[in-house]
Amino acid sequence: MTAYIIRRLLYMIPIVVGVLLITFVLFTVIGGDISQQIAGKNADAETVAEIRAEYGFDKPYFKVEMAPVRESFKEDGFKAGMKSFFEGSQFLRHFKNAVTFNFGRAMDRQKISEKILQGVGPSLSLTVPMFIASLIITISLALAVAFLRGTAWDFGTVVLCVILMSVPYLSFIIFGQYIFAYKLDLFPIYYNPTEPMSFSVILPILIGIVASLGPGLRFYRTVMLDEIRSDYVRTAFAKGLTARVVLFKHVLKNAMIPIVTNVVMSLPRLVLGSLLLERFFGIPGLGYLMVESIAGRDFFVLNAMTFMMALLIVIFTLLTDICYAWVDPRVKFE
Amino acid sequence: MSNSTPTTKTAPKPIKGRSLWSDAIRRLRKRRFAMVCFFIVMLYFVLAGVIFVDEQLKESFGEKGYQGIPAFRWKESVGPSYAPPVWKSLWSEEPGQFTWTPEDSDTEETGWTSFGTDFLGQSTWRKTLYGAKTSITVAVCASFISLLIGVPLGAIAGYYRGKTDDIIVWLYTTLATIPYLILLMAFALVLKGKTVFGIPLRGATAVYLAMGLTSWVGICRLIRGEVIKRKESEYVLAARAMGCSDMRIIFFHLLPNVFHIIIINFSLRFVGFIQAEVILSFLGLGETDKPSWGGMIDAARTELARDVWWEMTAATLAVFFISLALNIFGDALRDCLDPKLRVD
Amino acid sequence: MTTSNNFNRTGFLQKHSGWGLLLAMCLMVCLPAGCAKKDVPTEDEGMVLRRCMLSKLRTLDPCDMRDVYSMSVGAEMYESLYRYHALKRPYEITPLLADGLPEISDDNLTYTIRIKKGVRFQDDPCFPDGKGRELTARDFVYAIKRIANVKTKSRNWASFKDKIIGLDNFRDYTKTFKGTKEWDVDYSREIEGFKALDNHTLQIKLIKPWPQIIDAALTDTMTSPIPHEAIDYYKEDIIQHPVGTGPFRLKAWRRGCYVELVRNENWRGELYPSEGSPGDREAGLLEDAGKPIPFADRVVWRVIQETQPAWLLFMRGEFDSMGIFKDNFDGTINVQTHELNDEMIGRGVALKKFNDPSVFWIGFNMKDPVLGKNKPLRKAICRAYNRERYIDLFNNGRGHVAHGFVAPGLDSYDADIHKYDYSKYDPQEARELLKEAEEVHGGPIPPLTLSMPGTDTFNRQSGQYAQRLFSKVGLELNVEYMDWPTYLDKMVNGDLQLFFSGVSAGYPDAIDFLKMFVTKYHAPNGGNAFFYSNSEIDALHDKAEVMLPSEERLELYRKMERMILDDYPAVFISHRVSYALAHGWYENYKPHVYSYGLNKYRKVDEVQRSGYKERLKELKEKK
Repeated sequence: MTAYIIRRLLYMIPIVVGVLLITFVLFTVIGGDISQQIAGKNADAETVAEIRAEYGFDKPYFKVEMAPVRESFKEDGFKAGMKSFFEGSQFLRHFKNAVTFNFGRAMDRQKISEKILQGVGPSLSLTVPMFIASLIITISLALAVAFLRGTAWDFGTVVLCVILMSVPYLSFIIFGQYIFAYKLDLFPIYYNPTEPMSFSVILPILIGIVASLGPGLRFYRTVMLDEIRSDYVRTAFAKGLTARVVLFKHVLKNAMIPIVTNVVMSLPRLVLGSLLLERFFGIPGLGYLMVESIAGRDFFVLNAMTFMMALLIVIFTLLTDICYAWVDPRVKFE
Repeated sequence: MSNSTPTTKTAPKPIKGRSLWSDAIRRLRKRRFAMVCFFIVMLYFVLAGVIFVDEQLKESFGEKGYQGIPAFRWKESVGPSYAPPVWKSLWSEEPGQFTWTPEDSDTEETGWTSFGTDFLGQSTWRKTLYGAKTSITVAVCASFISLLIGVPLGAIAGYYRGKTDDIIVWLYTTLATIPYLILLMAFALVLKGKTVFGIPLRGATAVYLAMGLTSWVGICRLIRGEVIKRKESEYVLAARAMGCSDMRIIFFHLLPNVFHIIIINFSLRFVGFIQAEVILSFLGLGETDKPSWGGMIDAARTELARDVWWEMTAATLAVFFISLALNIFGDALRDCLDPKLRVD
Repeated sequence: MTTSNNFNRTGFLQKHSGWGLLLAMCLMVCLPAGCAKKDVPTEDEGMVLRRCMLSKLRTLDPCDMRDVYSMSVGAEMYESLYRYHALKRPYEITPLLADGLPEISDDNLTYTIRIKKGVRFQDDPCFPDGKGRELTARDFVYAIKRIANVKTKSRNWASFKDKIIGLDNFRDYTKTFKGTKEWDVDYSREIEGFKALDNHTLQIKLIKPWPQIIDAALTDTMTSPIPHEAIDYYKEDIIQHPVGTGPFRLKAWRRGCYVELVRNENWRGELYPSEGSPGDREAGLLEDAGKPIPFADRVVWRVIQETQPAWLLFMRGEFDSMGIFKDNFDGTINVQTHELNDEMIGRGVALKKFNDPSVFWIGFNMKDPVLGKNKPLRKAICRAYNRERYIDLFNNGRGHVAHGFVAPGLDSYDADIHKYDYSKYDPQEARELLKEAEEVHGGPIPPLTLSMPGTDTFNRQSGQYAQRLFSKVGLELNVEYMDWPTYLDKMVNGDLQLFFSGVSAGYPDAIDFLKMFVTKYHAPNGGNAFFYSNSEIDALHDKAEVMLPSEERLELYRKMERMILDDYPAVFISHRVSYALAHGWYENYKPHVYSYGLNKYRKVDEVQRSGYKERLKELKEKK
């Protein structure tokens, strides 16, 4: 078991390095030098040069110039030497920043870590209730539909799912905001810092639930149907158990594995928030930060967020795998 | 989602004498509704194709006076700005808010204002039609790019295993670790405005390139799995015994046999591309030069203040119908082509 | 990273821990949701000014302030030596931290400025005992050195280049400085031309006369004094911990969301002005004359980056004042009379119109091989652009046609400039000019490319409009829509062919408009993104630059403007006229185009405001 965990942990390393490589290629190699942008419209060459040096754009991508590094080791000791080594090339710098979670400052000079930490709370207060509510709704509906399979109700639900899935997400938000906040004035239209956050997130949560109903319900319906067709359900019915008992004691319990897997793997995404909902309703979460960084081409923030999200997903995948290994001895440890 | 689909080992083997394809088509024909959806999808494709051809013709023969088909001349002003759809007068007494009347409307033809017009007096109807070309070009190109990357990589990884497999699996696992939307936006953002191999990446080009480069993971994984399953099968062994090269086995023996998976994936992925185009347009990363459904929905953010809802409604309906048709047809196709995945 | 999928279906998991796991997960994610508390406490109401910010606040470090919102929030906390009088028009300089106007030597090179005594910084933990210390002249010197310091990466250096004796040397020194941190630089180095003679006297010595020094530098928030203790304490975080001398101090700033200022208890106090311009008394702007300011206890800006929510919140009484967005104009203003419609009057809203000294244009890149050497082509494009229509369509008629580029409202605005026909719309003439242009080019004109500074609907529409006008005279135009950073990057590097841009005057002198056409200010060293070069203009500019305001200078400015227009470096389109709306409860509001930091004069009648909200509620219930 321990060996398995260690192996899985080691397996994380190439993935993390891979993510670092991708973000590096994306934001540094393709994205290019954005020091002119940071410096502003009328910045002179020296200011730009200063910014290039600060963000390390003046260094080569990979190859490190070793001579000054050796000198630094000799003259200023080990610590300074290591520092100058890691500052030697853009990739090493990128690597060091990510591993030490020190992403430096965004284009507006605020600390990126501070930005991200500030955004987590609002994002979660939007996505967590949304996620839990839609989970409860979809699972109970799926259970009901699975029980009524083959009837008009089932068919109707499937059609509804497909219809909901086909409407563009953006339309849900724009129409929802227009009708319920502008026209009917039932909900606040934009996040108001003087009111509790829960007040402002009601409408986005409702919109989010409706928009996620389609795909969610379809998925859980398939899961439930799989279970309902198994032999043990037939046996249970044959034993004369009531439908309620069969549904809740057998079907739901057995469907738990795919459900839990799905839930656990959605958790890291909750942190990210909802890009569009946050933007439209002014909720200052990570999704909002993301949209803003895209508009401002702030590659530093995008880079940090991409890395943090990938890391979260890697960790959650690891946790799920370990959980399975722990509860099911038959998982192959290889 | 994929690991939840049941793969029962007692799947019925295809009946001899009938190929997988003729079998599937026979089953599909029985599903009336799926066929209707198929025709709707084809309609969109034909529309996109005609617009494309019309544009090419206009480019080549524009100087000789070829004006193009009226329905696709979206650039013209056909009426005052924000003229409401004709039927609006049926229930509302108020006249629409006309901010200007173009002193020189570009066309004499009438009728194109029936769906209302936008700020510059362009016909919503024409823009929506043109949007089909933008969206379908993006979705088709993105699909092809992702297939072009995903299929060979998957096949090679599954066939050779070993180090090659490790590297490819590592590559796609890494990509899959980054949330799709972030990855897509990041690609679209950094690619926009760059020039690759002398091709400037503008508007739609950057969009489909970004989509293609980020969405090959799913198909790659599927193909790899299938190839692993099939590479020890008799027909592959026979081909190998006959001295076929590895590449020949992969591309002429293995891939044709997993082609149905590619088709299913293609049809289901397509909807995703069309919907993603809308989101990218909102973020300012989409096609800006020509009408697109995303751009039309995005415009509603300010237009709704004037109660101009028609542009957004038209675009939403356009996206809705093709998504609906593709969703239903894709499901039916999956059921018919891959009996093992059949749900009912 | 795939899950091993051969787990058993009757295993341990679903027997016992399935529910448990789900529950644990729910609990885990519920916890942070419980923390969703409100961000700003509301108990201490008092008088609150409610403001809207349409893009986010960038920085609160005075030396780096250049954008509108940074300056308008920053000026409430940081004070400069001088400021424009809040009510008097034409604009008049009044001392703020200075004690009287400067003593200027006869050669116009030495300025001696006395500083008010007893001014204290706000209380802040960066001071030894937490109490704000007294302001001295050295704090001004420190502020100017920070702008010059290359390690600070200030956006404002361009204003001071080659102006003050010794300041450029200081910058050269910081360039050679080895460290990377701003505060490591030796700030004790003396600058010959910017010295504190004693605690309350400041002396400025210039290299050559700089008639605009007060308007361009000493009224600007960037030169506001800042205590070195604050930088030493907050280091780079000085951007979010302002320590100034102003009437307000920062209470909370949540980026991209809101900014809240509260009254600074340490402020020396001031009285509401008792003089204004004619009409101010009738308008009720002088009713509070002689009363101590500030009136408001708090100023809150909410950042709302979408126009429609912002507009709706204004209509619901959440903001005191607001501009009018393009798409809301028809519902607000009577298009014939350009006055408020009855509904808005019924709401008690007031409209203030004022000239914003600005100009918008489609610029030609003179380095471009097609445009640069082809004056008939540039002239043809100028003739092809329908400015009046553009203003009607895109600004709802809120603008003047730009016949030249110097904006109305500036003293050097030439009232007769329209007679020179630089702004004539004449497609027929344009077509004829194009024939000439083709001869110059030696063949048909290739498709041109216009770059728009944004990808939003407004930019898309105006891009398409330009395309339409171009095609009417037979020119093919491609439009590229770029995000602002890309646009800026390309513009500065001269990679754009035609570009849509605009500028607003920062002070009532047209010299900044003229500078846009001087060779030494080619981007990125200045605002000349046209890359226009004309040795005559350069020479005249050098002459005009050092001239004191006079009739002769006005003539010179006007002559230069016409010379530049003769070369058609751009299609100058419009000068903006701003329409500002203010609710009835918002008092002492007089729009000011140059000055920030005016919230200390503003007042809100909270009773009237709650009355408005009550009325809205009633209306809603009736519906």
